[in-house]
Amino acid sequence: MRMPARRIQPGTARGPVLASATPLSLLGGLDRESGEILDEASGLLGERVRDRILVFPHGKGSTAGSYVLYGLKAQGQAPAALVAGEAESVVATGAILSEIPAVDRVQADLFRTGDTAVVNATEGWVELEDIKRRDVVTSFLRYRGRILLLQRSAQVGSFQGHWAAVSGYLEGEEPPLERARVEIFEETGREDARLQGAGHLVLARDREPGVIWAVHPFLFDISSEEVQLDWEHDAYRWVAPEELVQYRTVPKLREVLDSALSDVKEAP
Amino acid sequence: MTLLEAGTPAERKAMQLLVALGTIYEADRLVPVSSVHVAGASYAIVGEAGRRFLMDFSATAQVRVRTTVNPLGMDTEAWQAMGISPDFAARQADIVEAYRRIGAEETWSCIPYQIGNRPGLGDHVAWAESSAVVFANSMLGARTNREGGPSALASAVIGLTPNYGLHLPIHREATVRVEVEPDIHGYEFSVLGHHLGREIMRGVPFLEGIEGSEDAWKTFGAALATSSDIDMFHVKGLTPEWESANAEGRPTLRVRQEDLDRAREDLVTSDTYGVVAFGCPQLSPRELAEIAGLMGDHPPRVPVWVFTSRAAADQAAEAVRQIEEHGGRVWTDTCPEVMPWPEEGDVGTSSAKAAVYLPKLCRQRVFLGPPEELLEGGA
Repeated sequence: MRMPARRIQPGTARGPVLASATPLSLLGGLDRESGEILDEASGLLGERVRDRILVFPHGKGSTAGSYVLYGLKAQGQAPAALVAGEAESVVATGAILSEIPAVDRVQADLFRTGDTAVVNATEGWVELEDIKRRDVVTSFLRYRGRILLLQRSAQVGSFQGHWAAVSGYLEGEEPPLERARVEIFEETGREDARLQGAGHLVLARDREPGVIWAVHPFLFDISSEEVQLDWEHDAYRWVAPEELVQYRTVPKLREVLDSALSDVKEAP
Repeated sequence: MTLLEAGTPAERKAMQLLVALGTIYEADRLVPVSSVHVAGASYAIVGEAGRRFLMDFSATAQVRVRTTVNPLGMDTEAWQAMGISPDFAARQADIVEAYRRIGAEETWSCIPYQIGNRPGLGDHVAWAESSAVVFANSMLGARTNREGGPSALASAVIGLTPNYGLHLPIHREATVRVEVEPDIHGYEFSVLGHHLGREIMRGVPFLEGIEGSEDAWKTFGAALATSSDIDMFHVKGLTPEWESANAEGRPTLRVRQEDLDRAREDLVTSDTYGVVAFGCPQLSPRELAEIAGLMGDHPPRVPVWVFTSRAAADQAAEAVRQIEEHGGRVWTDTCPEVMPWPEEGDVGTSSAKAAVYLPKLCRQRVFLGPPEELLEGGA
């Protein structure tokens, strides 16, 4: 799967991913000589950055950290490329001084150590090899300010027992909104849903190997609270948006709801 | 053609760095700067990688604006007396040569504003060194973000800096009011700065009900910028932009004596000390005279190291002579935090900034107190 990125230092690279879950301190977080990771919180203690695609949410710490990258490069111990969620001045300065290809504005949590990535900083994109994008629609139905949650049944292929919104795979080239309406009818029996918001795409990676989910968020209002479930769900609840945290949901449901709500024009 | 394509390798790299930083921080343009202050000159801090970079970069770089440089890791003349190894001195000398080659002034000082590089109200500058940044913004009304060593160096070579943050008037307005209840004197300014930094963390504090000298505010700002990301403050009736600070209606933070007592206690990591270090930031000529006077009244019981710039020492030659007559030692070109301490130890200091960094960077435990108390006590 290929994703757009912002160029910090031009260049291209391909290699195995080393993905840190936490912000990276170049001064203190990396051994100056060997490029070994010293920061325990990263989950990468003892790994070496040499020739890896180093992925992290953002940098932190002293600007003297920029020189650490320069030193690693001079000794042949530098990463092949840097991929950041947000590059701040320490990371950007280090990448530019040492001419290590670097991009940012990439969602770092989509990367796993062991993936293979291609970085084209010159053109501004990153590709995760052997990772497929699968598009899904997720629709929140709203009635008097409350949101419909559905509990996934034992017959569905994943996340049985978790709470979710109305959702389904996009098939072929069909428009997401059409698929959303089809799924609403199938899963709730409602035909009267009025579109209120279509949020920006949310990308997520879960236990499914080799897949990044591309979620298209929608928000619809309906005019009463009756719903008819099909085989995919066992139960439903109408909840306030802030109650979502109390439920065991499918991954990133709150983020998908926020995305859908952010597009709503009028007050609910 | 622009400097991204033309120019020397160092100029291209410098321009690329400024453009990238401007993009990241969403600057609308690059603005000309009237001066630059560069940090990252001590070999103890920048290491082998920094030395290598500075040597490479300086081969094809020349400064376009007045450029001063932060302290080195040693006194350039008396390094042997400091216990510096010949190997360290040789590597440090390479960095000195690199800065000389690009045309920077060999100030080796964190107080450029007290030795001639003193920008005026509204001047855009590109300064590194957090204590100098906060002084320039607050006390002089000059405009600078907290630059890193490399970005300040890039501005020196290009003469421009990205226009964002404290270069824009909107970010110079007060975000919080501070009312200080106790009377603050001498080294307590430093403790107050440390306390406010910890409490406020970011933004622009507006202080009232407090008076002090330029040197007092210098130590206040140094401690403030060390314990926070704060790069500017206003003082009612004193600093040049207090009237346009828009402090009305901002939340108020009250400071009580017990807050300062706690801030000091948190910084003390030793009851004793084998040496007293003054000069973080480096001492001004006036502060050198004060220390000389105190040492006459309170003969020191442990060695006293005094850190300043060569320019300040030359201006205050009589005070330097008196300090050394009273058994003190005046070092120039360096400071207590960027010199290599040979072994673990404990240090008496009146600087909250030094009290933060000496344990972290130099393996030194710290006793923090007023200068006269430091001179009378010790191991």
